[in-house]
Amino acid sequence: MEKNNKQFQVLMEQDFLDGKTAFTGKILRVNLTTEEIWVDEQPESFYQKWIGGRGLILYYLMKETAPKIDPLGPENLLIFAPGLLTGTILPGTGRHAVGAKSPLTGALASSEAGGWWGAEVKKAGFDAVVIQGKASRPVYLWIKDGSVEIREAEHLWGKTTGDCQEALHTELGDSKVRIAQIGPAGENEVLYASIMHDINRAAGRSGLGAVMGSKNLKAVAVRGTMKVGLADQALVKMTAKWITSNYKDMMGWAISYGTSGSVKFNHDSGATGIRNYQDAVLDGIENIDAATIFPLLIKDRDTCNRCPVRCKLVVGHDGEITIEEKYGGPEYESIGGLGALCGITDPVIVAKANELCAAYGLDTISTGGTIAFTMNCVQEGLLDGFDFLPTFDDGDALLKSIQLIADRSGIGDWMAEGSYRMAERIGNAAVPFLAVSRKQEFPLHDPRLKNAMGMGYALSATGADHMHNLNDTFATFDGGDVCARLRELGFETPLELWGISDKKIDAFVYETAFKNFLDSAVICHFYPYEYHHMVDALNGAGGWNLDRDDINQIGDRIITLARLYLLREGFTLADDTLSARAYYRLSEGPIAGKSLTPPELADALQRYFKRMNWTETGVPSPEVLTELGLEDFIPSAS
Amino acid sequence: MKEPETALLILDKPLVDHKLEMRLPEGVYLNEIVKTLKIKPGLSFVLLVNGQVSDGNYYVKHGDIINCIPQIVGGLY
Ligand code: SF4
Repeated sequence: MEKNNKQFQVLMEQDFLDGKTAFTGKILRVNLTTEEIWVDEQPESFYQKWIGGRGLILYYLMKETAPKIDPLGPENLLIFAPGLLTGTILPGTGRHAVGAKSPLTGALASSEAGGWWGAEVKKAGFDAVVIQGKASRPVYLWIKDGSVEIREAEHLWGKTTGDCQEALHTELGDSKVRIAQIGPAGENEVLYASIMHDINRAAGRSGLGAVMGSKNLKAVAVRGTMKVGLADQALVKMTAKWITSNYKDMMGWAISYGTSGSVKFNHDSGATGIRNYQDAVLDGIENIDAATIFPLLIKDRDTCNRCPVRCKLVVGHDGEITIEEKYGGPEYESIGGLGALCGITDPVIVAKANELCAAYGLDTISTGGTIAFTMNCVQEGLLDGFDFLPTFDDGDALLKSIQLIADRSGIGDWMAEGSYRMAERIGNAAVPFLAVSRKQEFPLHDPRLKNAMGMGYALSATGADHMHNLNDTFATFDGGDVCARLRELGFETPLELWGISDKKIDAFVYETAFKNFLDSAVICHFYPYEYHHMVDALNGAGGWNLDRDDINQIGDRIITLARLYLLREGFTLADDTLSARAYYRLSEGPIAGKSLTPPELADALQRYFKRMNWTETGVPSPEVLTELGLEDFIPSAS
Repeated sequence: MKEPETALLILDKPLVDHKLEMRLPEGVYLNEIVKTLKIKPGLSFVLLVNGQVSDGNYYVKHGDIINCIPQIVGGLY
């Protein structure tokens, strides 16, 4: 298609969107260096193969970026990718993925955000937005129902996400405009800066905000007023009806407290690392659990597009520390990372820390993980020469650290690079305190309790991630949705808790395929959908005749392509690791004496590779690539 | 008469609607007991025996306190 400068319009007709399929075949392309805008027309087969979300992100990264590019250079792509089901009538589909090469890990960044932004892009007529190059000065993109414009953003640069959103709503004269944007942390290229959507939903992990900042792109503002089509309304409606009748029972936990209701449960079962994984119990943990937070701080609840569950918290507080309601509220991961991991049990401090991360645009998991690591190094006397250093249990130090990270000031400049690079600066003495895989900080699911999850951290192309993973404690006793899916696949009994048996590896392969499918479709992981629900939704959206095996194959295709991406970027088996904190055994508490050992992980990896038909060094075989339709990506022999 | 030797199993919200405490005779196999629990659909849990995570491969002893700790999905942004 013809390329145009700075402004661009695609003729979007409602009947094109409404009624045919959930994709338009139009992928918006923007080159910020040349200010060219154009559209890739993709055929139906593209969507059957890649679905959207992570699948689409990997396709473009593999096809259009050269190996080993600088993640913060103009040649990196920044890809906003709703899924096939985003914006449809199916509950749980108000999410989209964002991807790039990660500046934190050097590997894949692929992170999903809730809210409305993804659905709005689909309603504006585009299946994805792929951005390349670097603007010569700060700019933002304005997308409205098929028209696209690159606009000046000098006046927005330096603003917090809240202030930037307000300014854009005024400038565009419409408070319904949905905005994806970076805060000061992204502008300063903090390696774990997030991209915020509607200021309180983050594509949080792996430094996507830094990639956006490196392109001088402050925001992508979107307004779409058309409807996303469906090939077979009745099929999608069937699944929508099932979940509408069952969500109150099956998702009661999300309705009542959201993920904040799991803080004490996870602490009591040993899933939450305490003071950088060195303690078993945190006195006062109940202060940062939902039971305390709700009466003290909760002002309202919030939701995503087409979701009746409303799991999101809206917190507010007046007094010495004020918390603005517009920034939403903390999830379990944020409470765990900014609270328990740093030894903080003051709910107002933790909620304020979460607000600061949203306002500056920082990933709460890596922010908490890096600050906790720094506190640990201070405790061990490994850091000096700074005016300020944070210590465990000190709430003011936590808040000050977040500000310093966003500004890249003092110790904050070191912390802005993440804990792995800090350890490189400090030296070997800091290595025992690292809790990372592929340089990315662990989420708050302790691999000493969740051993397959730990293997997933080591294997994931994104570095440690709990979402596209098998959660061991959800599959140990019959009941949860993971067990239901495994039963559908013929697993007669749940999984054993400890270790990584062959049966667990089998379950891991299926479950990670399913989760990668969800992240391509892009669907909320909280919804207890089983395979047959997804088969109906997918076929209803695309007008296809796919089955359960196709869903698994789509997931396997994405996982395998992600592995090829890792190999292409120079990663080897030696990088499929967990850092020292995963092996540090506690002497008391719920997981006393428990952890995998490095040889046990190495053995599990070999059995995983065999199950995937990859070589002993984790290279997918040519037969597998052919089977999965990845012939185009077979590395050349040279 | 001598009191029967028992252990205590505690089930709480959101796994069930109302907190439940069950007396278990000494010697029963925990995994067998777990299969009989009526937990709300869609929920899973971790077993704690006297504060330590257990895989259920355990014969109950007198005085044991057994908790079922609900597992709730991590966190999405
Ligand atoms: S359950 Fe929560 S995260 Fe999922 S779609 Fe609904 S509001 Fe969003």
